[in-house]
Amino acid sequence: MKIIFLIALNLLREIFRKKDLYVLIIMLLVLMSYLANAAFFGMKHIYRYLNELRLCPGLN
Amino acid sequence: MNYVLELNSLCVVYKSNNYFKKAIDQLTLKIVRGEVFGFLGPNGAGKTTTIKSIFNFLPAASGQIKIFGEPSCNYSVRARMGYMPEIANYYWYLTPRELLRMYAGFFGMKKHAADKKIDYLFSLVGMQAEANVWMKNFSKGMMQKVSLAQSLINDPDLLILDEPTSGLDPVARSKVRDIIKDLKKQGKTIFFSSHELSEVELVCDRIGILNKGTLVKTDKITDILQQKGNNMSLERYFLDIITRDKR
Ligand SMILES: Nc1ncnc2c1ncn2[C@@H]1O[C@H](COP(=O)(O)OP(=O)(O)O)[C@@H](O)[C@H]1O
Ligand SMILES: [Mg+2]
Repeated sequence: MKIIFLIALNLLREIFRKKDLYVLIIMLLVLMSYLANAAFFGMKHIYRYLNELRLCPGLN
Repeated sequence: MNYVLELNSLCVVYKSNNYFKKAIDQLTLKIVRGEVFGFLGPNGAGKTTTIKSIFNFLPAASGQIKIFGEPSCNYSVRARMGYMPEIANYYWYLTPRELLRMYAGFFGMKKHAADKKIDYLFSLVGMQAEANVWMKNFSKGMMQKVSLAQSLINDPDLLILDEPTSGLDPVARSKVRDIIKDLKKQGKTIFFSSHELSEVELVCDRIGILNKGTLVKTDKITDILQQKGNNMSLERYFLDIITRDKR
């Protein structure tokens, strides 16, 4: 068990130092914000649905 | 006689859908305690394959492998062995110190003892200055040194090195030679593969020559150098055997 933790610790270190993960996170954020503001064929009820899910903070 | 490493008619086969290769064929080899054994052979002879199957990384198709008289899959046996791979492919974004700490953790060493041992190993291979640099920035020789230090972390009784001097500069080479001689004095057994004959001549007690997966010859170094007279070097001997062995 200790060995698994050791490998996991060093893998995490490697991942954070590599900085590849940051690209993924930033891309995800950009994509999410775009999706959250998208107007799906101008249909109002979809806005409402997204709003209920708290995905469109700008709408009320 | 108690053998440290015992291979009995070992066969190793690589196969996939359209590929079949008998990499090792009926290899029988016995190594006694305190011996430095040089495992020679041209490229593609099967040296790395043999070493991998000693560690059970590759399953043997037939034959058996015994280390300290026990099968090689026992953990108690593994804990007494050191392995230096041919191609050192470690985590690029760790420092050598962190890597060695991880390996020391695998063997259950306490933190303080591990740090002491790691400092000692770095001074042994001559890497104190680069101990805290990411391995991404290392050259092949430096990686090779890290991997040698790694193989020595648990004070192994049986040390298996796969081409330890490839990619090293002359200073580092003589250091490796000294390390091997030192370990021999401590009674450790060393098995290493190489095709650097001048190295082998200086450190080995016995050599085995492998060609196309078959062990062609094993001989004591002193015998070879005596029987051939003074105009015969190990290189000639090696070339003779390889060219005569047409299979
Ligand atoms: N992963 C692999 N898959 C298939 N064949 C392999 C593999 N590794 C090595 N071989 C074959 O096994 C033979 C021995 O290779 P190897 O043990 O690496 O030689 P060397 O003595 O140079 O270390 C070679 O002919 C090679 O083609
Ligand atoms: Mg090899």
